[in-house]
Parts: sequence; structure tokens; C-alpha cells
Amino acid sequence: MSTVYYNIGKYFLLMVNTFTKPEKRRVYPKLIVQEIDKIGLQSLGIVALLSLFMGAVVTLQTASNIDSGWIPRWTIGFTTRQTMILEFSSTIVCLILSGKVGGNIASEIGTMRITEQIDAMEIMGINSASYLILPKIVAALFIFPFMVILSMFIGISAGAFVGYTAGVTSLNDFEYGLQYSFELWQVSYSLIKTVFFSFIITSVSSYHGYYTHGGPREVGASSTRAVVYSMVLILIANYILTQLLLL
Amino acid sequence: MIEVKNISKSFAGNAVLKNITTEFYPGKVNFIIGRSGSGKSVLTKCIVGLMEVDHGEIFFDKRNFTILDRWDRKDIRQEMGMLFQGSALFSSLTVEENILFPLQMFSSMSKSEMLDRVNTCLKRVNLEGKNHLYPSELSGGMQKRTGIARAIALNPRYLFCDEPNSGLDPQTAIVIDNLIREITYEFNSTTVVISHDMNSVLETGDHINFIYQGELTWRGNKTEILHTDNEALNNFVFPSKFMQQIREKLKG
Ligand SMILES: Nc1ncnc2c1ncn2[C@@H]1O[C@H](COP(=O)(O)OP(=O)(O)OP(=O)(O)O)[C@@H](O)[C@H]1O
Ligand SMILES: [Mg+2]
Repeated sequence: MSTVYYNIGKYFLLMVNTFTKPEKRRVYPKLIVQEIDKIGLQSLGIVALLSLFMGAVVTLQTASNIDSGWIPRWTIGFTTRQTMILEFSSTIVCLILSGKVGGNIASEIGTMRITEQIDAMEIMGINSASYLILPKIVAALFIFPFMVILSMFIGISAGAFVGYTAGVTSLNDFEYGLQYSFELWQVSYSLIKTVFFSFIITSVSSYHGYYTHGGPREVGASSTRAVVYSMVLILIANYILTQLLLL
Repeated sequence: MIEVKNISKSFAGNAVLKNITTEFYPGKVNFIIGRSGSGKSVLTKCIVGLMEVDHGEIFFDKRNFTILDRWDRKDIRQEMGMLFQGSALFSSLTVEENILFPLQMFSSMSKSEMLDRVNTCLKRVNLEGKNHLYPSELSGGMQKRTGIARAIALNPRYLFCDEPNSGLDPQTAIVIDNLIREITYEFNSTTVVISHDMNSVLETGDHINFIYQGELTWRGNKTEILHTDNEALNNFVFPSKFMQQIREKLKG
């Protein structure tokens, strides 16, 4: 148990180091843009692919479950919307991203640690935590919400397309379902969650990378730990935020 | 001048440095020598603050480095240059960007002045024209030389080199030795060199510290080392018949 507290303390200290006394302001914009590309744009493909198939499958699943006749057809569009907006596009996409982006961040920073690149920065008098971690956090906070919105859009569009071509719903019914008791707040709820998840993914993965000791094998272990911890924390945060925001 | 006072360091009960006291002088090439695993790298890392000492204090020109927190250490750190044993080049940056890095972070030079400085440094380590290669595209010796170029980019007041010429051919090794010596004398920097290379120790050793199993057992210069009766040191510096003959020649 005491190692849990120790690690939590160490994590918060690292975050303090990351956000206090950063380097000259003009070095950051370039780093942030690089990170937006690396952790955001380079993950667009996987997010789009997942959302496409998820939207399609949710639509077909719902359609196959409402044969009974007394459930209206527009339920298909409604369910697709609720699934994508409330959970899939934020929580599931972030879980997937924690695997891709989190693992990447931990192994990148971990490799810099074991090859003494971080020591080389420290020796120059650079706040390595801030230089390496801050741009990643800022980039994720900025770009992930856009990716989540894109995921919602792709998922719902795919649902409409598949529903229509498979003949299980008309576009009118689907659209009616999409608009049925829609509140913009649901999108906001999802984006608020995304902001928290982005922070979790980047900071937790950076933490595991930053405190890697040893060699390549340990970098692999850090990378795995980064993914597992990010995922578990996302699930817990999802539960807490849902309780706080929706009830 | 760097003063090291009674420093000790252990890892999980394994005492690596035992009560080491010494000084490193400005305008001199100060060596730390000793067998593999004797604690040379750990000593250097303790001096520069990459590892915290268990005991003792380190002063950089009378400034007590040990009691400073990481923010206050920054000022002294910006006066340091260090070549790591494994070079520690930034693998995502080219040779040029590696050397530009400290300049961009801490100098107020213009872009073209910085590039001039980069090229001057590259020239000093015989790497002209290699600006746009990545560390993974360099040989081990070229990585070392790039590491030196990066360490001297800001004309450091304190220069640390962990095995600057291991893995280099003898000719390049001498170029690097000369370079380190020139920089030291030119800028009156306090230079600390860890080395296994007896050629450079006997050639450049203004002040030599011999570490044996974590203890500092001998200090002196390149002439005094010929006359020492420290057995461990003799076995280390003159391990072969050949080297012993050379010692007799040098003495006489
Ligand atoms: N981070 C560490 N954790 C635990 N033990 C360490 C650590 N770093 C070094 N040591 C131990 O300290 C001792 C001295 O290591 P050091 O790297 O200083 O040797 P060295 O004199 O530089 O050797 P070489 O000439 O081979 O580079 C070794 O026994 C090593 O196992
Ligand atoms: Mg060493």
C-alpha cells in the first residue's frame, strides 16, 4: 500500500515540475505542433476506422433487436447517437488512444531516460519534465476533443449509411431518432470527459516513461504499465465524471 | 575550482563512493582514473547533481551546490558542459540540431551566429559537413565527437567528459585530447576527464585522481605518477612489461 502512496506522490511531484518554471516560452509552440501531429493527427486513421465500424455495428445490432413492431424505427438512429456521443467516441476512443499514444509516449521518454538524454538536458540546466511532458499534455488537451467530435460524426454517418443500405431504417426515421430529445449538453459531457482522459493518458504515460530504470526490457515494461494504468484510470474517471455530470 | 568534500554514495547498501575529498582546478585537465566499476561515473554524476550524494558537499567556485534545490542549481548548470559515456545525443535531432540545442535554450545569439557557432564546434571535432546526419547514422566515435561539440557549444566554465576517447582510433583520440586541453587552457575552464586511456593520462594529466574500489587512494600529476609506490595504481597504469619499461624510460 505504501508504494501506491509513494507513486502517487511521485506522480504529483512530476506534474508540479512539469508546470512550474517551464523553459523559455518561445520553444514551446514548435514542440506542441510536433506533438499534435505525433499523438493526434497520426492517430486519426485508427479513430476513423473504429468509429466507422462501431457506428455501423451499433445500428445493425439495434435494428436486429427491435423486430417486435411496437418499438418505433427511429430508435435505431436514437441508439446510435446515444452510444456514439455518450460513451463510444469519448471513453472507448480514449481507451484505444491510451494503447497507441500512451505506449508511444512511455517508450519514447523511457528510451530518452535510459540513454541518458534526459540527464543531458538536466545537465544543461533545462527542466526536462517541462520540456518533454508539457507539450504532450497541451497537445492532447487541444487535439483529442476534435478527434472525439470527428469520431461522433463518422460513427453516426456510418450508422445512417449502413442502416439505409441494409434497408433496416429510412433516412427520415434515422434523422428523427438523431434529433429525438437531443441536448447539446450530452456532447459537452463527452468533451469534458475527453479533456480529463487526455490528461490522464499523457501525464500517466509520461510518468512511467520518465521514471524508467535499466535497459530496453524496462522500457517495454514501462510502456505496458503506462497503458494499463491509463486505461484503469480512464475507467475510474469515467465512472466518477458520469456520476458528477449526469446525475 | 570544484571542491568535493567527504562525499559518500551507496546503492541499496552497496557503498560505491567512500568519503571522497578532492579538488578540480581551473585551467587544468583533471583526471579521474580507476578500474571499470570503481565508481568514476557515479562520482561524476554526484558532482554534477544527477545523483544525490548520501553525505558530503560539493562547491563550484565556493558556491555550495549540494544544498541548492533544482531551481537554484540551474544557474550553475548552465555553466556546465558534459560528455556522457554513451554520448547521450538527442536521437530525434540531427547533429546540427543537437549542438544548436543548448544555444537556442540559453544564448541570445541570432540564428546565423548560432549556425556559425555550430560549424566552429563541428570543425574543432573534425566533423565538418556532417550537420544533417542523425545520431543513428554516425559511428560510435563520431557520436562521441558530436557529444563533445555539444558540450563545448556554450564555452562551459566546467567541462565534464566521461571517457571522451574510448572507442576512438589512436589518432582521433589524440585530436580529442588536444581539443580538450586547448579548450581548458583557452577558457580557463575546470575540466574533469574520466579516462582509461593511459596515453592521454600521461600526456595531459595536470591533476590525476585515482579511485580504487570507491576510495580516492592517490592524487598527483603526470610526473608524480611515474614515481608512485601505490601498488594498485602501479598495477593499473603500468599493467604490462611493456608499460613498465616505458615508465623506466620516462623516469630516466
Ligand atoms: N544507478 C545505479 N544503481 C545501482 N548501482 C549502480 C548504479 N550506477 C552505478 N552503480 C554501481 O556503482 C558501481 C560503480 O559504477 P560506475 O558506473 O561509477 O563505474 P565506472 O568506474 O564508471 O566504470 P566504467 O569504467 O566501466 O565506466 C558499479 O558497481 C555499479 O554497479
Ligand atoms: Mg563509467
